[in-house]
Amino acid sequence: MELGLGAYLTFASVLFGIGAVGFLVRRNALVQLMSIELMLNSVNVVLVAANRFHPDNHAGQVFAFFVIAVAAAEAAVGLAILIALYRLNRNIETDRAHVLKH
Amino acid sequence: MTDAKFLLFFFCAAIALAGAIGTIASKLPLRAAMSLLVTIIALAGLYLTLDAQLLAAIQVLVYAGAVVVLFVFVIMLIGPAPETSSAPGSVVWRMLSLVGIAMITATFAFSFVDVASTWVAPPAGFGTVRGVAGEMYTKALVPFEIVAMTLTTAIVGALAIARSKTASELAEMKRRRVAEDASAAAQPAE
Amino acid sequence: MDLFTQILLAIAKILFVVIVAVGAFAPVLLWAERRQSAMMQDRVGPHRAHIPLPRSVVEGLRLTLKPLEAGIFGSFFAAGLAIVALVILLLSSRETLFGQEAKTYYLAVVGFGILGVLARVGHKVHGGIVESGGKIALLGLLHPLADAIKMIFKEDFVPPKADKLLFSIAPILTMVTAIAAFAVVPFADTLFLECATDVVPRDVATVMACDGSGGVATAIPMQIASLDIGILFIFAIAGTGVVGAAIGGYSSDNKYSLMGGLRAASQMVSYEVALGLTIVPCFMIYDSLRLEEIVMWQHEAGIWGIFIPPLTIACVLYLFAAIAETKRVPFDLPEGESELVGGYLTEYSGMKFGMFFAGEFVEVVVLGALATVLFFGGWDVPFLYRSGFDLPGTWELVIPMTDWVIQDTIALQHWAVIVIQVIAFLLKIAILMWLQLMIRWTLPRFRYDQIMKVCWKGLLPLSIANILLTGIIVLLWT
Repeated sequence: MELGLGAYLTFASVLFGIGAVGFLVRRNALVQLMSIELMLNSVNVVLVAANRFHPDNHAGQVFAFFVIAVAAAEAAVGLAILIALYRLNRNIETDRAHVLKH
Repeated sequence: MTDAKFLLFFFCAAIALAGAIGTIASKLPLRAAMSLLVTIIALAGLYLTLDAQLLAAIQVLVYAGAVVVLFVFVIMLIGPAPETSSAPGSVVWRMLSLVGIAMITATFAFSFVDVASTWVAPPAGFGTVRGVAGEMYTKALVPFEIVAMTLTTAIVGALAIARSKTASELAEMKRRRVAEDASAAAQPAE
Repeated sequence: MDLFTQILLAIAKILFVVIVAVGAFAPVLLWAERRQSAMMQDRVGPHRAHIPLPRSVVEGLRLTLKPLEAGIFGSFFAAGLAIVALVILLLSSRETLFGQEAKTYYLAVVGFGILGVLARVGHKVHGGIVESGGKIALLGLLHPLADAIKMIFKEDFVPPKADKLLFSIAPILTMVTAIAAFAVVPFADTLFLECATDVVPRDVATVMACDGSGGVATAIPMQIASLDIGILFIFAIAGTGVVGAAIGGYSSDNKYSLMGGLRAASQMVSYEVALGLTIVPCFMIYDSLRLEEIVMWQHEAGIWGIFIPPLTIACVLYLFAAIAETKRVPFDLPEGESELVGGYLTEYSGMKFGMFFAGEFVEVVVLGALATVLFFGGWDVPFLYRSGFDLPGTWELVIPMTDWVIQDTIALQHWAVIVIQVIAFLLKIAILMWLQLMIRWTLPRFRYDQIMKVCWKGLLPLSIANILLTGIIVLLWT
């Protein structure tokens, strides 16, 4: 059996699916943030695999590097918001963050 | 692709998927964070099968060394907080969304499975520090600077959001409120 | 080289590193630390662990004390006589004295001198054993061994409400990451397998096989993995180690542990940033991330990193950050017993505590090794090249009255060169560790806000300024 680009793409799509399910099903904001990290990582796998498929330049890897950097920034800001939310609500469930709803 | 890489791919992919499922399924946030760590290290292994050494190192360095530690840090700050009941009436929608995502994932996954391809041998210096950095500092310099600014902004933003008010700020607020009350009392409304 | 040899070599190298880093260096470091602290605080130090000897043996030893004393006296007396004979020979310009050439007397001086010193050391050890009633304490070197045995057999207590899985993973994570960082550290020059017993030419990139087959000699890099990412690997692995301390503190279900874990995580993350930035000037000057190339640069340039001005600053900053990164006094706030009982280690006992303990010591060794590679030339010994010693200048020193000659070049067989380099590398690490010990037992503990202030307002700006300075120097230089 030949291990082609398809194997990586399949893996990435499954990983993205798991991340998306986690984001929708879980109500704990922490786990939701982690699910976002999973989704971003799956995108990175696609970028790196595609870069390996066309190895004349490093565009894919450079892009993946930027994704990692932005993911780190996103985690920092997201966790800061989470702490602010916890200070306000005394819990971090996104279902209960509905102050502006009513 | 050699046999060793073939084996490494399946090994890392299996561990990564197991870790991902652990991340979204575990009741305790800290265990979720640990599963995320497992996924991230397995993904670094996957990058190695793709000849992306530098990216594998950065993956572990940034995610394991910073992002997961940040998660663990926040979990330690706010306590375990296991999930309690969710809002009523959302179960159906949740199941529907779940099914929808499962279908989309399955569609993608099955359409990609047959993408057979022959790999080109990478040129010398592919994925090395010199190769990636050379490209990053020549072709992608502007995005690189923008990312740097994004990170700085994110740090400042995170600080501004998460920090609690200092004692002097609280005193200032109290003083202003007292002054407002006093002015309101001096000019009684009709 | 076939696959089997490669695997065998890899296993041999891993075993060497594990045995040297964990099996030898960590206990010796522990011992040295106790000895040093005892010396500085005027205590007895580690002395209780010993091998008891049966009474009859002790009596036998007591009997040999007198002969040994006589032996010391005799050896030194004989060496003295030989010196007198040499002086007579030199002054009288005779060929022989009592039918013996000068060579014999030289050998006699050295031989009897060594014998005398050995006898004196033996007498001292003997006397110590006899005086203590047959206890072989080996300067307290048995103490770490006794500690290890104690930790293995101690009850492995897990707090009832602790998260058992994470509680067990934490020490493993700490120790494994500490040891794994050793994988990219080179401990000697490239070994040419077929040429082990020959003298290898000094400045040749590809050495020809010495068995006369005309092929190229099999080059074995003396490090476990030669990675392109080099130092980044160490930092990536060390970054994972932070998680170990954090989850160890969290999963213990103890307030002190939690505070300790928080402190450990924040301190290690902060100082990792500083640590990474302090060594950026090294990459700029050495122009590589590979540790073996960094050492090779210093070897070929004939100058160690610490003597290059911007790296001198970097070295001081690095050592500062490294000591903080290992969470040892004066930066041991995460386990500061006056505030937090035992910090994140409070609930740990038995081998799990032992693993944390070993991990900490291995981390000291790793950071010492990294400092050695970056600033102190790694395995480089001054004037030692692949072909042997080559001292500056060209000169010969003939020992008077003999045909023995000391030259400026001393050819050494390849294996001897490698062994000397390994020993030099280990010695440098040992000296750096001793430096850390001295700092540890000299300075009092910082306050927590002081630690953070030093990191973010002191080390970080200084190291960034150092990077700028190095950039300017490199631009002007090239």
